[in-house]
Amino acid sequence: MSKKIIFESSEGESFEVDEAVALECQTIKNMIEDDCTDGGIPLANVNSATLTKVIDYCKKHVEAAAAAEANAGDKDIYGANKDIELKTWDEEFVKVDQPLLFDLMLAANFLIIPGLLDLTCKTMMRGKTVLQIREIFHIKKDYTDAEEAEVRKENAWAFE
Amino acid sequence: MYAMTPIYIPLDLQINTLLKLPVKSLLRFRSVSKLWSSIITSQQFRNHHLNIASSSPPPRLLIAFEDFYGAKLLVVSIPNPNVVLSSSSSSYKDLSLVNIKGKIVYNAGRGLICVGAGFENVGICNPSTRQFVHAPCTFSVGYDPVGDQYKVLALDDLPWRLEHKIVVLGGEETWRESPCVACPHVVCTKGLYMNGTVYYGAFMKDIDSPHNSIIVRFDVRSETFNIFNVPSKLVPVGHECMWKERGWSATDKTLINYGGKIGVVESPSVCGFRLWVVEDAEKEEWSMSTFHLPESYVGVDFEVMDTFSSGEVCLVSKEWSDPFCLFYYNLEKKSMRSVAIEGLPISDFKKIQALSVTVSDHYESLLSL
Repeated sequence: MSKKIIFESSEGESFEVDEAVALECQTIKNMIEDDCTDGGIPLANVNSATLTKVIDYCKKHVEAAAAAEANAGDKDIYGANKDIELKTWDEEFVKVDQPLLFDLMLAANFLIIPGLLDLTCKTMMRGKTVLQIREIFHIKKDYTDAEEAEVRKENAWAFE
Repeated sequence: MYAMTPIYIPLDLQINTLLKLPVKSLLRFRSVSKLWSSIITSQQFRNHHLNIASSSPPPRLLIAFEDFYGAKLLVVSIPNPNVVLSSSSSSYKDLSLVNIKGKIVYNAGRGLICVGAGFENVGICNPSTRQFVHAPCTFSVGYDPVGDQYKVLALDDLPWRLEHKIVVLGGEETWRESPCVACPHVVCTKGLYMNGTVYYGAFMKDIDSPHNSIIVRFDVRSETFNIFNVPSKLVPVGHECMWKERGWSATDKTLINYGGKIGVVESPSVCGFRLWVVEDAEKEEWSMSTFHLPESYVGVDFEVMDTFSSGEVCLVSKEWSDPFCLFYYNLEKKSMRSVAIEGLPISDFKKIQALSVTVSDHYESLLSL
């Protein structure tokens, strides 16, 4: 029987996961090493919906890593077919609405899950216009129209 | 509920997000705000961005099509096929094509390429930002990781001149003479940049002995040249020099980064091809192995490219197909596979008389020239 870790979401809901799954989060890994996970880990800034997704992600990646290790013998040099499957899974995983994607990104940043952070960041930015980016990040335009036109002109080809 | 409570992304996470983006997106996002623009154009961000790219192999590929008589270059940057082709689609969404004036790409080093064109329009180009600076002469670009400086090494390959000059990019304006004290030599191969050092094959000028082949090592930081000899027993039978078959013909040898060591690959012939690896430069220890292409590829006129990752030599057939194909020979399994690259104007190329191609490892750099 593997050791269990209990997470508590911002709503106070408990989630029990295998230690191996929790270890995917660098932050939790440190806590486990420091032996301060008894009685559950309260995650005050991660809600239940987000936590469910985060746990799904970690579970899938732990399983994939275990499967890859078991098949290490007949793996080809460019990372085997397992990678394709996992990549496709990842792509499906981030097909969520923007608020949830945001929450996932913040959770990945807080829990330190590099793979998930990378995935959510890239998804967030993919194909976005400058206006959309300002909206997403709540950035006020501090350029004058002339200044903005100048910066755009410098790299006009990047807007093609 | 979400719409009412806007979520704010802290600045460090914003920067973290930017670090993962390709150069083209970053140049676009400079227009977001003054803060973003100053982050993206800072030296610290630029180095961090490149370090992330270069620490997660395999590198991108840079394919340069060289129209010698038309003095035009088409440079294409693509994700490494070893990664992309494992996903369902085999065409490249982020195929980036850049047209540059020039005849030859001498080398690629840490995001920049050295372009040559005889006596005019030579220079350094950053294909990721599409910037170009002119230089009177170029040969190879290298990077000094300690001083965080790019330097351009210019070699005059006229045998009666043999000048070596250096300039720091973005630094001083004038070229400095940097003679190779060790010995005068004539360059034979293109330059290979690897870990703060530029390597190239050459032969010593003043030694008439047939066995005068050397590899020159130029340390970018200290600006010093080192030479190491090619042991004569390694020079192929019938060759006067390691690099040239006879007389002044172009070399059939390509330098590759063989996992941090210098490798020399010869173009495959009916008898296969040889790979030399410099195991220990000081002790002049080299290893040599011979490989044979699978039967169905024997007789195809292949050229060796200088990209080398995951144990595969990259070959291009001189007879181009449409779509353009890269062939990968796996040194361990002794097997061959091909990768088709869609979206290139191959039919336009066919009208061109003298067209050649180079394929190199490439990392996107934000460096502004």
